[in-house]
Amino acid sequence: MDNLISTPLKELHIEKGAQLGEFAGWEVALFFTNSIEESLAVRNEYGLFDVSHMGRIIVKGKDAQNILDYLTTKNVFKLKPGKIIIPTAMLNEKGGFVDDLSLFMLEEETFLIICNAINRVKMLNWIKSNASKKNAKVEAEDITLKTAMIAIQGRKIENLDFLPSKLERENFIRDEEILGVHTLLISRSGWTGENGFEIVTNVEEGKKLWRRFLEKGIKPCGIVSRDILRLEAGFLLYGNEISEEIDPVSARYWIFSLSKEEYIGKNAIQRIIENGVQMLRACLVMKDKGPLPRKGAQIYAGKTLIGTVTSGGYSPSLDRGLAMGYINPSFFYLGGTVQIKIRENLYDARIQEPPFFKK
Amino acid sequence: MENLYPKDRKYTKEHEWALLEKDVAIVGITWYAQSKMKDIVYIELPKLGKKVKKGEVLAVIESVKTASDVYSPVSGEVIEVNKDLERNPEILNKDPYNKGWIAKIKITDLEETKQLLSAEEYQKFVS
Repeated sequence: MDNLISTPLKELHIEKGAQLGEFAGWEVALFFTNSIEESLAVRNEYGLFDVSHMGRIIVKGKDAQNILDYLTTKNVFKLKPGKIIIPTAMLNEKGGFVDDLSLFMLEEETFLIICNAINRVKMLNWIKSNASKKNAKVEAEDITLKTAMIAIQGRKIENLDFLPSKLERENFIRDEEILGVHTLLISRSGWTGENGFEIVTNVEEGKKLWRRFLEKGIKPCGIVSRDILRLEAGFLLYGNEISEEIDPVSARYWIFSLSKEEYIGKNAIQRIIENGVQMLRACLVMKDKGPLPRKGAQIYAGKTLIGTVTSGGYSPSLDRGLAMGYINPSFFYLGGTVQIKIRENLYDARIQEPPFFKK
Repeated sequence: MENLYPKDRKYTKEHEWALLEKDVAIVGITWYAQSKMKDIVYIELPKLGKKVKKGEVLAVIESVKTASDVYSPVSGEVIEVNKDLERNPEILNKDPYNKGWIAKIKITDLEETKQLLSAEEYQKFVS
């Protein structure tokens, strides 16, 4: 495929019979066998994801903590080496999302940002240009292509005794071995709603570790199942639920601090809170098993058009359609019924709060 | 590859099959179609008595990935639909040629069926 960056684990995925496809400018594994089976494996047991496409940017220097505190929505001075702020975000002056991200403090004056694949280059430029405006002494380096990233997630992850089960959420460890393979970083984190770990390695170690996990019988899962799992967990996807034009208040994405003194976008957020929002993000569960709500579908309250679906599809946990979208706040109430238009017909959906799977 | 495209029926370039029995066509989707759609989770069946022209939308199949139209390979009237598919749409993936039949259509223009592809022609088309 032209102009796509291939995941460093591509050859291993081909060996396993994966269907490859495009995501955010990357050639990734869409699925290995069947996306429904793969998502249920994570809900019932565990699964393995190649998330090497995620952006990984190192920010270091004397002023790193200051500039990151100015650029992100949560308090970076609370961070200590070995801790993560997850999720946090960088906003533009209007309060729109530059990106949502995880921020790791590796050591004094050195941080790692893990951001969305689609925003990797934009984020690097955003950090550099704002640092130079502030005369901050920092360097930002994109290490994405030099490294691999693997997520291992699932309800029964504690049964896997080769993983660092004592590691607490929002914490990470560095330079540990798993199954004889050296890793750069292992964090207790994920994007599936289940318990799990995310692991960053050098490229060659990443290939080795992926093989070792497969040898342990862990089911490889593609990006389609990852999208199903995050939708069931109610997590927002950049480009769908959030963008430069959407603020965290409308998104009901509570990643910002109002007690923090200053950061880009804070004034905008305060104005938005004072003036009210034009739309709110809602999670919508189809009332019946039937056609699926898809991105772009219109949302109605009776005959009134009240919004648009931003993500939608099939939920294996609910065995019906599930969506997220933005609606007119006057029609937003939990448990309320709205209608989604699918091919000229309206179908009932209920406004509910995630997660949409049994805890 | 023979079993992927049984020789007892005809095919369309839109990946439907039609098993012709006198003036009735039993209609479904091909092995190739289901393998491309993957993970089928819903089918919108036509109503009984619906009159369709060849090439018109007969049903809609939804997979995890996308919604796909199924076009009628013949002109005629829908006389029976496979209700089992509503409860168990995954049959379309597992057994597209037998239990996965979608509808029976009483053909109004038998002449048209001559334009349908043979198994051999269809196999060449998809390979």
